[in-house]
Amino acid sequence: MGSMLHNFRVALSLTAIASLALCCSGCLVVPIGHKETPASPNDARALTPQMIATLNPAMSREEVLLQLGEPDFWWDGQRVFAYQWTMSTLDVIWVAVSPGSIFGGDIRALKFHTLLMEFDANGQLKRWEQFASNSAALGEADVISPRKSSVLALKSRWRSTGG
Amino acid sequence: MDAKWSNLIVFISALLFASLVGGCAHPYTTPEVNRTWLNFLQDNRTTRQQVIAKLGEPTASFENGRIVAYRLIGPNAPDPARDIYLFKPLDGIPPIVARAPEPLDEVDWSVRLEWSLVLVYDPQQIVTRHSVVRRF
Amino acid sequence: MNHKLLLIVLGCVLCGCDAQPQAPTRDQIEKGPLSFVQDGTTTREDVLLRFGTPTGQFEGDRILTFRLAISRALEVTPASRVALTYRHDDQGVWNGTTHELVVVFDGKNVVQKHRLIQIQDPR
Repeated sequence: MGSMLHNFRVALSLTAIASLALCCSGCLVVPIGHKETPASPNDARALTPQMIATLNPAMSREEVLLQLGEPDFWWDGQRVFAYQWTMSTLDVIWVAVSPGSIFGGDIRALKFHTLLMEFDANGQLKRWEQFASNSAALGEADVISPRKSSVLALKSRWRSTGG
Repeated sequence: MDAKWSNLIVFISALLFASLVGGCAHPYTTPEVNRTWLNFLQDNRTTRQQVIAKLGEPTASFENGRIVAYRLIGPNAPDPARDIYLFKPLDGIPPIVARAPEPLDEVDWSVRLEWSLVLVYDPQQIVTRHSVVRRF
Repeated sequence: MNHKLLLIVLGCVLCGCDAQPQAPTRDQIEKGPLSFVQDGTTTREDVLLRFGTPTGQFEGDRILTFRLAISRALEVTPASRVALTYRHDDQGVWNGTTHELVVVFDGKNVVQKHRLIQIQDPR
């Protein structure tokens, strides 16, 4: 019973501190850097540098599929594959307090990765290239991947420069 | 004091139990799909023509049409009176939808349920085997 | 004493709710729910009847890929694509995928080789 009374006093003290905080205005921003991790559970298929390093021009479409898994998009009679994944490198936790209210959230620095590859008429890997671009999202719900329109635009530019 | 604590614990237990049971919401099950949407389907009886008349052209086909698959997409609600959406998305082309009970633009597509229907035909175009696989 | 016993029981029940089995290894999955996929034996028909529509189909139907959601209890469910509207269905997120299964078939419609690729830990 003694410990329960102690816990009650602690809870009451914390409530008093929180109430006091709500009477003040302020903002707290905490950046949390970390190694690249998938931006959301549904984006967990990230191709590692080691996986991409296994690609070589002698590989067949079959070997690429067995090595890397299913691409996110494919076009032109399966001659072009696109793998896309989104990684998060920095989370910024923010809390804003004003009298009577408290707001908070998470802003994530994102890196969109795209691996494009092209096969020849015999299904042999002809060339491949990885692209990355930065963005940000408010919390996990904002991360929508893959982004077909952006991959299509990238693919058009990439194919026009290809040999 | 003892009676107060006992009552409190009973109350909390009841709340927990209710939340556990309440959390088991009842979406469509695969047996219900078989019983309602696919009740016309019978192995060794149903013909390809009958399947196409009911479900339209398949989403995918294999081994020169010997094995076909349909995507069955339906509302996330246990309402056997509601119809299903048959959906064949094609790259770059708007989806072909059959039997949609409501305007598709009004459907919350993120909460619908999906099944795969796979049919195997014999040389006489009769269904010999089929399966209905619920998707995650 | 009775109310203390009830508290202990309640605590045990709540702790039990949090216990999860270990994430299965690829070996456990291949010898468990995927054991029916055998090179040289399993037919395309068997694979399709079990997993439904493949998520990818290449070189005709010679190579099929399946995105799977495999739980810690070794239940295997094919993944589905979730999009906000039906117009964006082909751009949706593959819901719950933990593994991808790539299956290559020979000219006799039998599995020639296959590979299970882990995407993330089963939940």
